[in-house]
Amino acid sequence: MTIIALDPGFGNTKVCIDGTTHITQSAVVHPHNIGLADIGMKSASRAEIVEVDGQQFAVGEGAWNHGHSANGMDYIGLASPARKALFFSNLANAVDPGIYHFEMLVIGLPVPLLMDKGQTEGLFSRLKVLKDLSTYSCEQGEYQFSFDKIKVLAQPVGAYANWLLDEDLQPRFRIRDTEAAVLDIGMNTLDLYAFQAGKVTPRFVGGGKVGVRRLLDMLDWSDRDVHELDDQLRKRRLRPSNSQIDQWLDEIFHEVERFWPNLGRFTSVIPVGGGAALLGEQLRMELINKGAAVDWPADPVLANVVGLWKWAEYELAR
Amino acid sequence: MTLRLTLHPGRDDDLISIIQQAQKGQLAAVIRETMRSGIVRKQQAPEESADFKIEVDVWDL
Repeated sequence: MTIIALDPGFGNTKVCIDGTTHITQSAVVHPHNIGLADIGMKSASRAEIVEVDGQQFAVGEGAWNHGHSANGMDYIGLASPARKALFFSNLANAVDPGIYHFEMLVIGLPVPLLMDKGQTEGLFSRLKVLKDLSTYSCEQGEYQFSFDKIKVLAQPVGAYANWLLDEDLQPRFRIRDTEAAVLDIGMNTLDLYAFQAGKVTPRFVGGGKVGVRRLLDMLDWSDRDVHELDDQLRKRRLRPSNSQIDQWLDEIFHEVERFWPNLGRFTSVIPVGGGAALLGEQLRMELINKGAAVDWPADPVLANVVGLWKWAEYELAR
Repeated sequence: MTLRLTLHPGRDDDLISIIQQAQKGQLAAVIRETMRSGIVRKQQAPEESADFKIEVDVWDL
């Protein structure tokens, strides 16, 4: 059975297939057609131009130079053609052009969304359209994708499964002795999630709107697209001041301390997400200073999607 | 550089335990490693795979 795992973050869209990951910056726009004016001119970036179900999009790094954003940065938009374009651009990097009926799609969604029953009902019914055959074309060729089964989990379950299961999908620890906490700093939100002996501990589940976007909001570059700013931040061309980073870190730890008053109780604290990658050593040292036993993943940005894939493979093999 | 540490029971139990268990002549090395890598709590070797289960909410669409 071919399992596809999808982590549709607002910073990056990540896909895992057969243990191999693919990642695209979640920038997607309706490209602005300038007709004959672009003859003989090189475009400002090399964003990929793709087509989903008859609609054209520019996706990935540099897409912001081609038009206005088609990514509403809200959860309901996760099932939109624009978000499908980001997902399929990753899939097309994994397989040759053709028709694919994948058996299972595992999607990780943010904790605050899954805690809001009103929003999830609408989103879940929209996500079901992925079961129908979608058409996708890009530079490599033409594709058609459908998925027989769709399973939805909380994104941090992926980070937890990635930590717990080794490369051969075997548990690395005796699970009944573990109490692990996942600290996921995404583009929009901070998600906090904890597991005691393999079961979610509801009192340690929470978070807040202090993702990378909170840091970007502090920077006075309001004329730029949020993904353009994020790109500049990743490339270190945009450098927040120490006081801005400190303020952001304070806001993150304000939320952390609300839900996890004693970091020392956990056998492991696992930082993941683009925000964790961005803060790096500063976040790790702050956690250590507050008594956490930090288990830093090999790649904090990809930990969720790899773990979602591991979880599905492991559960199916049982 | 000389370092002076004040540790409080309750807040710093992990560090106190590490220091108490450090072998003679190894105290500075143990503290240096803890500063670099953080506290690593020992976790048991895995049990039989059959006993393992992650019990989480899964929505089938």
